[in-house]
Amino acid sequence: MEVVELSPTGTVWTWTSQEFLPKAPPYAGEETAETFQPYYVGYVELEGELRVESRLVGFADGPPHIGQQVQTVVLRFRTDEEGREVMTYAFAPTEEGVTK
Amino acid sequence: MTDVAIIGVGLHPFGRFPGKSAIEMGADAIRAALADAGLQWRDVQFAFGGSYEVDNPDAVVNLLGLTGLPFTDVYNGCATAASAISLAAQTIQLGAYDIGVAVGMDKHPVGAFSADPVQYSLPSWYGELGLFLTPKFFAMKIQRYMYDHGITRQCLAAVAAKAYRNGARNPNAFRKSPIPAEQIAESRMVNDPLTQYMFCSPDEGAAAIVLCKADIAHRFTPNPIFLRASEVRTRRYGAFEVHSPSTPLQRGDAPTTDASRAAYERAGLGPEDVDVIQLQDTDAGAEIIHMAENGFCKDGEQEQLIADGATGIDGPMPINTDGGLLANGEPIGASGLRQVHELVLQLRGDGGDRQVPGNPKVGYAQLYGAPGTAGVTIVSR
Repeated sequence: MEVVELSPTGTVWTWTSQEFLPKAPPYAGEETAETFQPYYVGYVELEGELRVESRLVGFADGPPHIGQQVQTVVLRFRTDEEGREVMTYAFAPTEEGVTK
Repeated sequence: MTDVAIIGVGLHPFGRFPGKSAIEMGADAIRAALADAGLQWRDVQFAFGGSYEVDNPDAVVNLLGLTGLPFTDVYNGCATAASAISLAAQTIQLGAYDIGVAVGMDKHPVGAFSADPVQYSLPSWYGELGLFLTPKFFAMKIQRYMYDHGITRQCLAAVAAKAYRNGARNPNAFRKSPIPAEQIAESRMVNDPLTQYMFCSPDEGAAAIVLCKADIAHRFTPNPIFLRASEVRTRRYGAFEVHSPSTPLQRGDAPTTDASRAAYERAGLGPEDVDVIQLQDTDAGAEIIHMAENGFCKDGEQEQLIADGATGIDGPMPINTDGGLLANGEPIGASGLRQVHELVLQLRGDGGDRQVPGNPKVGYAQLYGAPGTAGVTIVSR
């Protein structure tokens, strides 16, 4: 197995919204039916590399659009049973992506 | 190669049936198929049974009779029924037996399917993070397809409205009330662009067919339907498939395209020869994509075809005449046998209120599902 470093920036290739709380398990998010907020998911195309599936975050001004520029961010997903913060990757609009 | 005929079809209605087990529904479907063929259970020489929820569909023998027949259980995701049909046909073609049954049955809990991603050779974080979900994949697939090929949200709503319109003409359907396209478009958003009424639901039901060596079919029925092809394929590198944490940039053909080509070749027929079509409409977008993947139109032509009513019962390419998965729901093991049940009724002229006009001769059925498996069956008079 070889580790390959991928580009931290890319463009939205496709996206959707997840508007119902996924079944747990396997879902490990901390939301309840009352606190659940829909989230965006998409495939981000990393030029010349591949497409990766990811949560899409930071879209305050409306849903993502295909072709929008995004970059990786690290975000806290939940706190596990032993009190440790579980982090994950996501993609958020770049400044350029936001203004477009 | 030995030709295979379908001489009997039977179906337990699809929907919700509290207190009734999947096995009981499977037994009802087999009894109906045998009655249709004028046969008794003791005449059946072998069987294949498909189910997702039932570990042992062969336990249906407890209800039908302990005749000792070889009964093989199969599971192949949404293509389970296609596998049962394909294996049953091959058993006859091998010359092992002359008369057999393919049956599918299921009884799913309410709500979207859920599983352990590790069972799909995926990392557990994929499920923990809320990415291991089929509906959102189908939404992302059609979202990109709409962008590439100019398909509108109105087109999605029109597909679903047609399904419920056809379901209203099918006494065995789960959803038997028409829903106007506007109401479908404005219903609760589930995964953009797909709303609540653009998705099928897992539900309950069973379906069965009786197959035999074609040269003895006329002993049992004056109007046998011939199984011209039944092909199953899995995904190849580059196909954009459900449950993929990443995908290559290079796009490859979908497993449906591969299964479709193989089935046309086996049958010696092409899409222009097909008179009645059943496509996997897990969601309204899937029906649109599958129209092109099965060769019935080019990418992007669906928008105009659907707006013109081409896929309605009276149109030139009637699709999902019994309401498809959208109006019938999806008991996984039974779904593809429901499709063939409908095709057989249509080719016999027994379609009732939903009969396709013009004496259809060739029927086509396609199944598709996780993790990238497709089945195509072609039948003809």
